[in-house]
Amino acid sequence: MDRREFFKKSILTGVAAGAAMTFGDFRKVFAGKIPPPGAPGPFDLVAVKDGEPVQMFDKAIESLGGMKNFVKQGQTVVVKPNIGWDTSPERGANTNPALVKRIIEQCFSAGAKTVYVFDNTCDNWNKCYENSGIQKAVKDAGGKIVPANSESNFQQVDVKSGKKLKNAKVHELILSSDVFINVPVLKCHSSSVITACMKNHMGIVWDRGFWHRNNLNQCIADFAGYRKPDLNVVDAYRVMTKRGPRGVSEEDVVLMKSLILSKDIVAADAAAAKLFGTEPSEVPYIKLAHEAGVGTMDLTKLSINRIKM
Amino acid sequence: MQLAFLKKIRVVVSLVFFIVTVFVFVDFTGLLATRLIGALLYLQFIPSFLKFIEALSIAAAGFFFILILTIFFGRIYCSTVCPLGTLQDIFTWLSKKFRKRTRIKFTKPQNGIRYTILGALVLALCFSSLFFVNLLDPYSLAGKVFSGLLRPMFYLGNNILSRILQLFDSYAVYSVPVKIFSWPPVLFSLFFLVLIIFLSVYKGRWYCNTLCPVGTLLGIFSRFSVFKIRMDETACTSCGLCAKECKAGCIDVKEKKVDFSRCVACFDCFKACPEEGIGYRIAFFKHKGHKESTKDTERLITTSQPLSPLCNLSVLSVKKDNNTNLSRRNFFKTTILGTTAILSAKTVFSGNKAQQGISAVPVTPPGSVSIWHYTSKCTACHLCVSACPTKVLQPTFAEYGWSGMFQPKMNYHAEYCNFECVKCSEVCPTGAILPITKEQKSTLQIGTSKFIKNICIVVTKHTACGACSEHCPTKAVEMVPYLGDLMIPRVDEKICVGCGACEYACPTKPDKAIYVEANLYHRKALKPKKKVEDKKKAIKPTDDFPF
Repeated sequence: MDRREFFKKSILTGVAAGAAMTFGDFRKVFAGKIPPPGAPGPFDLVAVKDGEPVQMFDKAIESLGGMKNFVKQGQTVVVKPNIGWDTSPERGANTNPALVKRIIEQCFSAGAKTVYVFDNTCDNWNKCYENSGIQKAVKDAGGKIVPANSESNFQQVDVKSGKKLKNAKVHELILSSDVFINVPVLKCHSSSVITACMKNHMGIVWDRGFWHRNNLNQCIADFAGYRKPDLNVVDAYRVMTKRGPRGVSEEDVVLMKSLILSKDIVAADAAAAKLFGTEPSEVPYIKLAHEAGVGTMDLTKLSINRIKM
Repeated sequence: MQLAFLKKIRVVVSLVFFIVTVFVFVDFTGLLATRLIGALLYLQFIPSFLKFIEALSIAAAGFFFILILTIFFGRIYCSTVCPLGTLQDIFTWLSKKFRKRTRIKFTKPQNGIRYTILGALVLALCFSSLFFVNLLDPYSLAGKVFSGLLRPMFYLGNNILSRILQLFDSYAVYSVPVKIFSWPPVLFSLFFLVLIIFLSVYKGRWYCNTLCPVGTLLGIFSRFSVFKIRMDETACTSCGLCAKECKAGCIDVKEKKVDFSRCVACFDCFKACPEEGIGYRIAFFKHKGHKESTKDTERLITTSQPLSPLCNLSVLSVKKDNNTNLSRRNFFKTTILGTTAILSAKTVFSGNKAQQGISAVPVTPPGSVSIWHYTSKCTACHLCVSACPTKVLQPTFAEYGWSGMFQPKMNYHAEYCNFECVKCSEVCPTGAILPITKEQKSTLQIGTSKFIKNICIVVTKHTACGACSEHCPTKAVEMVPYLGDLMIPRVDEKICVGCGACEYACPTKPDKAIYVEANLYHRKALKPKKKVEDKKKAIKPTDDFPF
């Protein structure tokens, strides 16, 4: 933790504590009567189908009470898409840039101070940022696209609940930002069956090689419990169904036109697996994270809003 | 004095060449278009020559223009185009600022050393060895200094700036990793830099007139120059100011003679002369049978005087000279090609012993045709190392054998080759890496992946991994069922392009469980398989939610 972050954190803790004291009772007073605008909706998970990414996201976030439920005035937000590969948006290897742009815009409408976007990419980061279309999308929306190619921006943290993964070097923006919105793209994956929310966390740590060496699925599940995103948005508009996670051509992609939103990272992955035609329990890390209590993969126990556009 | 303005022009031109060249070698943003880089390096003598004997086209005839220029005005290359020459001038100039400059005395030319080196270089070249070129070519040496020493410094400065800006929440400047995978090339550059600083401070352009093969060759040509710098016996007052300024030490004031073969055409003497005692003059006709002397029949040319119409004749005869040279060069070419296979095969196979997980010979970059083509063309200027966006291209020491010292290789422990990038092939000034298109590259196989099953994580730890397959851009590395739910890599060498993504991503330590074995001759890979629909049914979007 550097000095800047220390200041940030101490100030934020103070603000948060103050806010809790101020608004804590206020909420309770009105809770039973009128749901205040932007109060958490009753849904644990929202799934949308057959729309364009932007419209689907608008609908979905609305049903969760709007972005104001997740981003408060003056907060810093980090939006973490998958920008792992130097491929065009049509190849479906990276998160849809239009979706990323919309999320950032919504964050700003909700009063966000700064919205950061980064990924520790696999291919050359410059080319990934550019060719995925995400760099432009972020800039257009007024967000900050941040390189994550330097180890100096990653800080060692302990993963207390980890079985295999005891510590990791995490990007400082994940540690210092108030809100963390995880925006993976749903793809098939040669190592882990599918990739969505939890697997997307491999782009906020520095040393992925350690994970691969030390039981990849367990490490993914371990880290999912470290810092749960405040919101998970699964882009299942173009879904890579084979030769993932990088893909070779557009033939690998199926137009699924779907979107999943949930605060529960395990539930979001479980729903994504279902969309993909796979049982969540067949995806090892989803099962492990479920068993560790990071979230639930049992979708029957959740209140789900299903929206068809 | 009338020609004193030439010095200013020389300084400006040389600085433009120098600054842009340095920038090209330290830049990591790819700011300059590759066409511009090509134009900038077009005149670099040895790279251009090597490219020419391969391509035989005007597009690579930069060295030829240099020769023509030399035939007219002497070693202009040395004072303007050559980055090492300007680098030395900068050190000399700096030393003047800080201390009284050592005067470089007129000495006898070191012709023994000069011609031995040049002869050895040509001889080695005939045997397709670039040993002396890699060690002595001034452009390539400067390149090694810029790329090996200046570039990391530049990166460090950039990274400090990046860090400072980040404190103010700005990510406008990104940091660039500074990693050195092989120290000998860096140490060599450092050694050479120290040497050249010492030489330029105490001995002026000693390197250029003793060791530099290009200097020697152009020196030979400048003996026959149409215009030469000479002293005027009548105007000269023997004040010695010209000799005091001369960094080549080629002015003999006592005899009032200039050794034009050692003159680097810096024009400092023009500026220094208070009279009109030194200047260019037509010398071609008087040359044969004459020592370089100052006969009063020869007249100094000043700007006001029109060129003699007789010059044209001399141009013709110069061209003739060059034609004979061309056929000789063709002879060299055939000799080189003929002996290539035998000698370089020796070079290649003598160096490395077979070792598991390491390619027997280094993998050469896409566009380099074969290891023989590459090693017989690359002068190790390290421009590709500087330009490579991923930095998979790294200098080697003796991995190509002693003859190919410092030539870069694809270092898959450093990075892997970006599937859509052809940058190195665009910037290479020597033709070692020939230009290729992205389309060509997508099926160009520079090596093939080899899987070492017994050290793979999946086998040793019985856990999922698949990092190699993840990174593979053609899915030549595919995950296939192993034990239970576990999947294990399988390589389809036919569609592998040898980009090294699998090797780079493989997490096993210390040896990688998958690596790229070089193709001695680059081959054509098959296009990736169109469709691999496995046992599970094709995933299709459903009408309703599956949950």
